Amino acid sequence: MNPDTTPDSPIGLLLRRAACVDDDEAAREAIRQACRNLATESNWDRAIDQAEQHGLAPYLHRQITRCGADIPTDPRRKLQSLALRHRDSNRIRDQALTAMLKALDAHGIDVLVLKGAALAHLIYDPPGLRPMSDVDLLVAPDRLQDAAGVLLELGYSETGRPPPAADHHHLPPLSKTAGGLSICVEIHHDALAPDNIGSIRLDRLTEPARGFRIDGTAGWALGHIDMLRHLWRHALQPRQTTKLGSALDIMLYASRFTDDIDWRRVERDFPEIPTGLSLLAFLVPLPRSLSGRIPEPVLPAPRGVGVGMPPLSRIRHQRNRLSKILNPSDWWLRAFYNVPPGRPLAATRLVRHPARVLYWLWRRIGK
Amino acid sequence: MNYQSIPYPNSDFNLEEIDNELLLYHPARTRAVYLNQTAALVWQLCDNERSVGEIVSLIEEHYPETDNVKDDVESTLRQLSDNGAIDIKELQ
Repeated sequence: MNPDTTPDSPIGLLLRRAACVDDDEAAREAIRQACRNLATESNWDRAIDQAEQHGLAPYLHRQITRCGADIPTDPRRKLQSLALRHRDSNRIRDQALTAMLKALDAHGIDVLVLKGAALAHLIYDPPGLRPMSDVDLLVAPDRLQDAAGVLLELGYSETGRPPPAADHHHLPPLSKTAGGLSICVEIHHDALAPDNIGSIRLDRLTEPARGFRIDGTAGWALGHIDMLRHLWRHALQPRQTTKLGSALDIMLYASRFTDDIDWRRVERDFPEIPTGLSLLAFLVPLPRSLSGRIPEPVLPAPRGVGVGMPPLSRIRHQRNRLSKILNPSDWWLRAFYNVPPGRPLAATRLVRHPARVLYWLWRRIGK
Repeated sequence: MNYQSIPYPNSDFNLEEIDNELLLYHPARTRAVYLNQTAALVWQLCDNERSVGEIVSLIEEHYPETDNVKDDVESTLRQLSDNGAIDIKELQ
């Protein structure tokens, strides 16, 4: 594993501390200390590169500025440039998104906005703090092709990427160029990938969708519980390391709406969420507002905090591929299969996870 | 530098203030041009009509205490031109 990505490396520590919801003097001093630990400019170059990969560069810039950390001029200016680029890219995507939403509405197609395109406006202030890549939309399964047709009318076209499997949770991506930026759109019939546990579909929402605004245009997002489910499952999707930006998304969302979330229902119907937040607290700071809402993290931390499971599609390029797939970290196993700390992990590791790996392989080979 | 030349600003560049620094920022490029106060003033005086000489005169008139205005203006205009922020056109 890249030493820069380990949670306790100087770079890992900086990014984890920066991915903090609470803004108090203790949090600020922790960030300042982490900045001092980086020492050299080459460390800063790598830190900024990692921040970008974790979707944290604009947020890191804001945190460093806010806490008054003294960092070298060049890295500070690189972060400034990244913050501005993401701000402007988001603005261009927002314009494209509002045009899509208006067009889909005109055709009577209900649509929910997923992931960053919604989160940027729901929990980030300003929205440019949340980098976006694709625009993800959720529509009813029987309106998928209609929605694609609307986007084709708006000038979007297929990207030329290989089409996903027939049972994939979204259509092949569509894209067009606007403002010098390539806008890529994925139209989902399910917010969760088939490799995941569970499903979030427009016709089977746990709660009604919630309205929000993008520059004055009305949009709809998942209700609180489905949003937490989606963010949690998305954070755990197979990748080498858990993206800190994903961890920040869920902590920010749970904190921002903590008084509105039906935590009793969450605990009863989706216990993996409180367990998951408790496990995430080993990776990024737990917001004060969530104390008492979720189980306190149980020490010692599970082995491999933040270490994910590599995606099956990439596994042929890695050594020890079978080992990595069949032997993921304790932390990831507990998170993915909802095994709270303190409960035995053996049955999950020896039976449940291998069975799921076989299912994943069957999905890819057997169909 | 020909003081009759007119600097034409590239409208894709925006002057931004961030963290108490002024920079010229182009959304599609990865680098920004950092400006001190004088350089920022020179940029703002580039309006498709004023010549280099007029810019120098304006700054000398309003900031008489500033030394080396000509050198600063020329240096700034070269920096802006090198980064694509302005295009300096000679008058025919």
